[in-house]
Amino acid sequence: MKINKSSLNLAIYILAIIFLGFSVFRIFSTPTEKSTASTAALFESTINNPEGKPQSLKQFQNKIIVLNFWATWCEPCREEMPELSNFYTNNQSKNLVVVGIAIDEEKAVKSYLKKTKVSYPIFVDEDKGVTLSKNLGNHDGILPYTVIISSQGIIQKTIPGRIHQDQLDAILKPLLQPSKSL
Amino acid sequence: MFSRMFNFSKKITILLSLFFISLFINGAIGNESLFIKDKNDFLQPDAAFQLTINKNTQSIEAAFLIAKDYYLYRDKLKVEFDRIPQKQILLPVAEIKTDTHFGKTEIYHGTLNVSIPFDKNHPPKEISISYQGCSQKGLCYSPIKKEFKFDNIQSINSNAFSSTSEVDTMQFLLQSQHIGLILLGFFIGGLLLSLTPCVLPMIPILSSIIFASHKRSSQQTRLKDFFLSLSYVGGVAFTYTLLGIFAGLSGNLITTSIQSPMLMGVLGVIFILLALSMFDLYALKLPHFIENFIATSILRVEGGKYLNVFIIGTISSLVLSPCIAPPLAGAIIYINQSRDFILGGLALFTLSIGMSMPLILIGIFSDQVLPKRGYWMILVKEFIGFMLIAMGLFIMSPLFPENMDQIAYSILLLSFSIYLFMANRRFKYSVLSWVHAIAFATLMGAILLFGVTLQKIKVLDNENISNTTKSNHVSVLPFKQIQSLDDLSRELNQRDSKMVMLDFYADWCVSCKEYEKLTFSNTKIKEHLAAYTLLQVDVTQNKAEHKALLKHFNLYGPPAILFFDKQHNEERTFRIVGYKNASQMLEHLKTLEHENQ
Repeated sequence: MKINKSSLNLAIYILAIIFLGFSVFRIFSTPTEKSTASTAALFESTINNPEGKPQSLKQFQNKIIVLNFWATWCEPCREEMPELSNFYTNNQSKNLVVVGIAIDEEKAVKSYLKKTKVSYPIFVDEDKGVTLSKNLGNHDGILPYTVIISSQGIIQKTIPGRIHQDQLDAILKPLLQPSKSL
Repeated sequence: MFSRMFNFSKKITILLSLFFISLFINGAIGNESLFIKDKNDFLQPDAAFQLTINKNTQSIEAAFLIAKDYYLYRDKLKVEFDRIPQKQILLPVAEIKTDTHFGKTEIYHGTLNVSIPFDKNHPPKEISISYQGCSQKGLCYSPIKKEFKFDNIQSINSNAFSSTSEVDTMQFLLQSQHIGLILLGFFIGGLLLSLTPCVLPMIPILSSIIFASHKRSSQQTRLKDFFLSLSYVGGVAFTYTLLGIFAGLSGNLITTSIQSPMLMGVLGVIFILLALSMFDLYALKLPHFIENFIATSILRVEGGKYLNVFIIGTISSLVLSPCIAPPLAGAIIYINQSRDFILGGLALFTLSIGMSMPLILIGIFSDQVLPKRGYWMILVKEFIGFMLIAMGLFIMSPLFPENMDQIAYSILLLSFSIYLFMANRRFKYSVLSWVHAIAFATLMGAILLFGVTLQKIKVLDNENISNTTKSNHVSVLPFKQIQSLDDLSRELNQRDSKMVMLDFYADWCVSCKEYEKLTFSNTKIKEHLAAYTLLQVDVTQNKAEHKALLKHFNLYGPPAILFFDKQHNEERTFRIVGYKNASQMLEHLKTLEHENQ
C-alpha cells in the first residue's frame, strides 16, 4: 500500500487538534450555552393569562425571574404560593418578578384565583406549560417546579418540589445585591 | 520502512485514545443532570406509578402499582379507545382525602386495578390512559398520558416506554422491538469477528488452560472442559459488558450535538481510519509495556479453577490482537449514541458471546471442529473493514450533497467487488467459486444502486428546473411562509376558528420532497387541507430563528408537521414526524377532524 505518509501524518495531527479543541470548547461552553438557549425559547413564548388573553413572556426579560410551575390540584404547589406571593410583594421594587405558570385548566385556575389572592402574574396552559417546564430541565414533569433566572437570562437554579422561604432567600440574595448597590 | 510504519500506528493509536478520552470527558459533563437526579429524593414518574396493561376478550385491565407515599387522583384518571373517551371505567372505591381547596377528593394508594370494558366485536387498537398523582413528600407530577397499541401484543408494561405522541411511540419501537434485531446484529458481528485472525490469540490461551487442568486431575471430563471454557468466555463477556455499560452511560456528546456537521465529519473520518487498520495499514495496539504486563500476569494465574479461568478471561480480552480494537471502537461509538447503558451492556455481551463461539466449541470438541484457518480469514477481516467504511459514510451522509451518499455507497460496493475479484489472485487460491459469486453479486448491486441514484437525481433535477430558484421552493399547496416564532404567534393570534397546519421543510430533506410530490399533491388531501390555515417554515438555511422554532417544539428538524386546533393550541398527539403517504395522511386528517368536531 503506497500512501503519502507525510500528508497522512499531517492529517492526523490536524484531527488530533480538532478533537482536543472540540472537547475543550465543550468543557467551557456547555453550562452557559445550555442555560441561555433554554431561556431564549421561554422569552419567545406567548401564553394565556387566566382571562384567556395571550401574553408574551418577553415582558419579563432583563428581570430576575422566579418562575413557578404549578397546578390547582397540586397541594404542595398551593402551600408554597402564599410564601411566593409575600416574597414578590417584598421584592417587587428590586427588578424581580415572580411568574406562575399553571399546568392546569383555565376554569380551575380562574375559580382558584377568585378564592385565593396571589400578588404575582399567573398564566395558564396545560400543554405549553409542560413543554416550557421540560425545556427548562423538568424532564420528569415534577410540580411544583421553580426556576430562578438572572436578569441576564441565565438559569441560576431549578428546584423541583416544594420550595421554602429560606431557600428562596438564600438563592436570591447574591442576585439581588448588585442592584441594591447601584 | 518498518519503523516508520510503527510510528504511524503509534500516532493513530494516540489519536484514537485522545478521541475516546474526550468522548468520556464530554459524557461526564453531559451527565451532570444524572447525578443531580440521584440526589433528589423523588421518584421518576414511571417508577412512582407503574402501569401494566392487559387485554382480555372483553376488557382492558390496567394495573397501577403506586409507590409508598405516592397517590393518584380518581377523577383525573381518563381512558380513550382509539381516541374516543371512555365513560365506563370500573374503578374500586377510593380513599377520601380532605383537600384544603377542593374539599373531599378521592385518591388511591398502593395498588389500583382498573377495568375498562369494550365491545367484543370492536376491540380497540389503541388505548391511551391519562393520570395525575402526587407524593406526600410535597410534589406532584404533570398529567401523564400513556398510549398503547394493540396489534398482537397482549400485555404491556409502561416502564419500557412513556409515550405522549407518535414521536415517542416511534422511539419506543426503536427501543424495544428492534432491540432483538440490534442484538442479533451484534451477535452476527461477533461471529464474523470470530472468523478473523482476531480471536486466534485466545485459542492457545484457552487450550493451554484446558491442557493444564488435564495434567492435574486424571478424571478430566468433557463436561469440565466445557465449563472451563464457559467460565473463560464468561470472563471475556464480563469485560465487554462493562465496556458496553460504560459506553452507554457516557453517551451524551454524540446525541446532543449529532446535528453539528463538524462532529458528523469527524466521526465519519474516525470510522474510516478504524477501517484502514483492518487492511493492515497500521495496527491499533495497547502500549507494549501494558500488553507485556497483562500477558505475564495471565501466565501467573493458575489454570484449572473456574474463578481463575474467569479472571484470565476478563484480562485476556483486553490484550486481544490488534484487529479487534477497530470494530470494538465502532461498536462503542454506536452504543454511545444510543445513550442506553442497558442496551450497551447487552449489545457488547452478545458481541462477545458471538465472538467466543469458537472458544465454546473448543471446550466441547477440542479444536478439531473449528473451520480450517486460512486466507479466507483475512477476507473476513477486510470485509469488516469495508463495513466500517460504510458506517463512516452513513454517519457523514447528511453532509453530502443530495444523493451523493448513495453514489459513495455504490463506489464502495464497486471497490468491494473489485477487491473480491482480486482476492483470488492475491491469495493464489485455486478457484474459489463462492468468492467469485459474491464479487459478481456486489458488482451487480453497485451498478443497480448507481443506476437508481442517477434516476433519482434526474427526477429531482426536473423538479428543480420547474421550481427555478432553489432557495424559494414553491409548494403544491398554498402555504404561507413564516420565518420565526414571532411570525408564528402572529398567525396563531388571528381570531379565526380555522385549524392550522405547520409544516417544516428543507431543501435537503428527501421526505419533504416526497410530501410535496406524492402526498400534498393528492386531490383528496388538498380538499381536506383547504379548511386549514397552512403555514410552512423553510429551514434550509437553518438561521437562528429557525433553530428557535425547532427548539420551541422540541423538534430535531424536518420533516415534521404540526397541527393546531381551532383555538390555535397545538394538538400534540397529532404531530407527524417522518413520512406519511397520501392514504395515511388522509386517515390522520380524518381522526384529527373527528376529534375537533
